[in-house]
Amino acid sequence: MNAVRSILEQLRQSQGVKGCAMVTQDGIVIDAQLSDATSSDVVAGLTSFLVSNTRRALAEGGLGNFRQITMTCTHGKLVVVDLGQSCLAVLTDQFVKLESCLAAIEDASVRLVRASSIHV
Amino acid sequence: MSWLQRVKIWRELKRLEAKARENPSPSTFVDLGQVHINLGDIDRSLQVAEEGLVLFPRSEELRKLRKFARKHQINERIQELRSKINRSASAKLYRELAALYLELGDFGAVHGTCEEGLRRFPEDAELHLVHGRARLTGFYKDLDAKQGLDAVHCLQRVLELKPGEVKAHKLLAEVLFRVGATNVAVQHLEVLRESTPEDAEVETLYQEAIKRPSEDEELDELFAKVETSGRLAVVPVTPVRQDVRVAEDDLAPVRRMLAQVAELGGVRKAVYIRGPRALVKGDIRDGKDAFLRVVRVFAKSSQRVARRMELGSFSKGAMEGEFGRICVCSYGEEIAAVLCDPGTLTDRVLADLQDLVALGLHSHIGGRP
Repeated sequence: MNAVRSILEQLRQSQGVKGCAMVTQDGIVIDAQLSDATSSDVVAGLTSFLVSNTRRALAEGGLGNFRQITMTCTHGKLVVVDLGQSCLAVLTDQFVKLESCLAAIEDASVRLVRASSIHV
Repeated sequence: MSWLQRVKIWRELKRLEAKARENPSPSTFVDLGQVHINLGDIDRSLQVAEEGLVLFPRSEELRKLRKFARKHQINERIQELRSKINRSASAKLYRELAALYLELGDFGAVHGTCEEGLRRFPEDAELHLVHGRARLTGFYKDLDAKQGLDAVHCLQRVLELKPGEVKAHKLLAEVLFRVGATNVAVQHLEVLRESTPEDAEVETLYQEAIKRPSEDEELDELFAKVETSGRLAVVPVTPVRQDVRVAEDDLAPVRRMLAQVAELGGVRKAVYIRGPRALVKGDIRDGKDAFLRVVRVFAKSSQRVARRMELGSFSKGAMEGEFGRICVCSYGEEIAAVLCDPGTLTDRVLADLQDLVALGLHSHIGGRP
């Protein structure tokens, strides 16, 4: 759990990143680094809603699965990365150029998958 | 401010907010933004400008409002960065500061910041790149040979430090092509064709460049010629988008623009959705195509998530996976989307989708200004 926290803390330091959370597919928070104004449960629930709806539609159409979702909104941006059993949700401010923080998000995703897998 | 004045302003705000919702127009959004500026709430004013631009992406007034509010925000961030640099300098802080000055259009400050940063961190390729871009902007603006040559040197230094840097190759290729050094430009374009084979702009530029072999002239002579003649040797070759005028009350212009979007490089399917209706182009059999359902679900879910997560209105999004890349742009019931091949550069596609939504919305409300 400490490894997950340190990866999220590091990601939060990236330019433009306002917060990030690792959540399960059914909307349970594994760990989060968010501002006081943002509830981790809300982020987890809504991420799960977005991911499950999108996955279902893709599966019904035989299009396979998604790897990453990016959303640009008037007050901020959201990036969701599929980590297999869980997802990484990253909130950024509206001015950040996503290309500049996608590398950090990708790196964090790889490390999170590694940190959360069980080696026998 | 007295209590009565506050009540009056609050009433005016409510009236304008309702007007912006019910009868959106650039001037309504500008008025609303102006009230927020008068109240000292610059962040909210910026949000209003952004919301207005989702609907009216080409409005000059809204762009001015956004520029004003953004300038205010940038100045605050510059103060923060300056004090951070004084405490503990890093190349990253200099890069961010220079990029902010560049956004403000203060080229003197960009050069000052880059030079200061490069004295401390001479091996930072990205800082050289920011410096090169600023010099290049100055060259294109004034056609000043010295700035052009300085830009070329900065970009060449970037490539010495980071040989695969795509942006540096691209900027060099374009400026060398425009001043007439096409033989050197082709060398950079060949590197780009290897690294970004899907980039249509690179391909267009390459095809033009190989048609016009240059003579062995020195670069400083070519830049001096541009400065003396007051014009660039070669006109830009980037394909210009067709200007689509809005018809009064039908979907013909939307259909035309959708066809244009479907013809962009890498686009496999394109769709424009308004409520239950959909216009489709590309490799789509009928209205039951799975892509349409995915787009509807993704757009609706994103709108809901954005609202509930207090991210404002969802304007555009992308989804990547085994199927390729789906790009979606939406405003209320209007949705435009494409399915692209994996690796397609989507900046241009998303800009066109945004225009398509604005066009659809405009024709939907009967060409009302």
